[in-house]
Amino acid sequence: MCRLIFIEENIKDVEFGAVRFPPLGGCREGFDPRLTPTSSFPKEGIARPVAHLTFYKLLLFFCIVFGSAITAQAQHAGYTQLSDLTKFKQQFAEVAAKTNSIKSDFTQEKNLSMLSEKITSKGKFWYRKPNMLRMEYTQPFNYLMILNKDNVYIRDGQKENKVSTRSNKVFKQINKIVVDCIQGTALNSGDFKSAVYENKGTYLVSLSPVNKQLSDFFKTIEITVDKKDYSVNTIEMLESSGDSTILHFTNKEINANIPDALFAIK
Amino acid sequence: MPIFRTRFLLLSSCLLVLAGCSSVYKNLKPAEGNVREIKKFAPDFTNVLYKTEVDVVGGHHLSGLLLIKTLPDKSVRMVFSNEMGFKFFDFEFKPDGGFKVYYIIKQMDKRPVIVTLQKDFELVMMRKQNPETGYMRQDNSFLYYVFPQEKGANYYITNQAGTELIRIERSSDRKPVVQAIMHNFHDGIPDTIGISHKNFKFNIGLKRLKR
Repeated sequence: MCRLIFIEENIKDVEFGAVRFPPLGGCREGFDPRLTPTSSFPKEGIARPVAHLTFYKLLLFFCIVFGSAITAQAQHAGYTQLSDLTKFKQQFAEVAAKTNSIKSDFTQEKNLSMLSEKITSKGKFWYRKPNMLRMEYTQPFNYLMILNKDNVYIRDGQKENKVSTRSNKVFKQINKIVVDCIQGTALNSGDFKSAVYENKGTYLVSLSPVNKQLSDFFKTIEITVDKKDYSVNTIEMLESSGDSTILHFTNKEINANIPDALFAIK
Repeated sequence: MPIFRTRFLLLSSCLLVLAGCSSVYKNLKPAEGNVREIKKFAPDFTNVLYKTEVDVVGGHHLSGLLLIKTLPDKSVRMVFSNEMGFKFFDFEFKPDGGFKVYYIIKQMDKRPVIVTLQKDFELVMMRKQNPETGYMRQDNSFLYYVFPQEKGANYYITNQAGTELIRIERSSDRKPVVQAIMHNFHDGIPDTIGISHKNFKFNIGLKRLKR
């Protein structure tokens, strides 16, 4: 985002309430080194490293990288905690192994609790193994983000931004995490404390960062998974302020044929 | 000859320095009118969402959504987050002129940054403009509603008839340091707002989103 712009050393002078900045280089929108996730998922009570996790892993890390935050609700109304995760993990793993792509619509709601206000945006979502993701916001604004292996592309109106994960530490980390998730090595770290709950139709995976860098930004990420097909219904990120961002996925198509062109970064 | 040249150079330099010190507003003439009338252009931010672009030195770009809402106690809350929901800041402009930062990301949490943003938005919201010390000026094209500040003054510039807001300037004693525009008012809310700093690149562009 604006990390280089606003760091104190870069502020040279203040005049009539204005700030002077020297010329800078290398700042990219939306990416914050402090948000660099170091490794990954939970160590206890969480699903095994399975490929299907990469779907929401990707989302999760984009949520983290682009910001968004989360809150651990102490209670999950209507849910009971799973004491034995074996079945959940096993079935999740089986489905994940068979999931090569996901195409979906999404609705994003940003809830501003103190303002009693909700900002809703909509768009389309595409994911393909191993690490390709496209999120295209179409309402009420146009915004496109593509992750394709080593590269990230953002188009905001007429403005375009490209970032190589090779030259950018944050994306290098993300890339590593994506690959780690696919290979199943990412879930052994202790960055998140996790728990899994269930109700009649869904599982709820609750992830709370134990790492201060992450917990400064969010308290919990809650992911609901449909029991029918183990696909992700929602991802909710809760901030300590009480504000939250929730992504609802609808019209999901698993293993739809997604053309390469959708992930192409020119 | 060298003496003449030296004197000429000295004289020219003095003239240049003097010219440099003169105010761009020095040719304005007194004008009739009531400074309070500029308030009709004060935006009515009941509840409005703007697509927001911020350009800063070095070609850096930051974008997102700015929600501005007036709460029942008449305070104005301003929340800026990126497209994916990540919050950059949450400010409150209180009815008594107070200002509160509810949240700001650490990278922006520097007093000069906050003060700049606060002053920029106060300028377009027409807050802290004291009509008691305000006065009117004009030139051949425009009317100037001038509100002296601790340093310099704020100029709200309209057409001669006072029916159209041309631009806003926050100025030092000599020249503008910030220029702002508000265009296409609908129900008291401008569709477009632009804020541009003159001493360094720091531009904010707001485009109203239909919700």
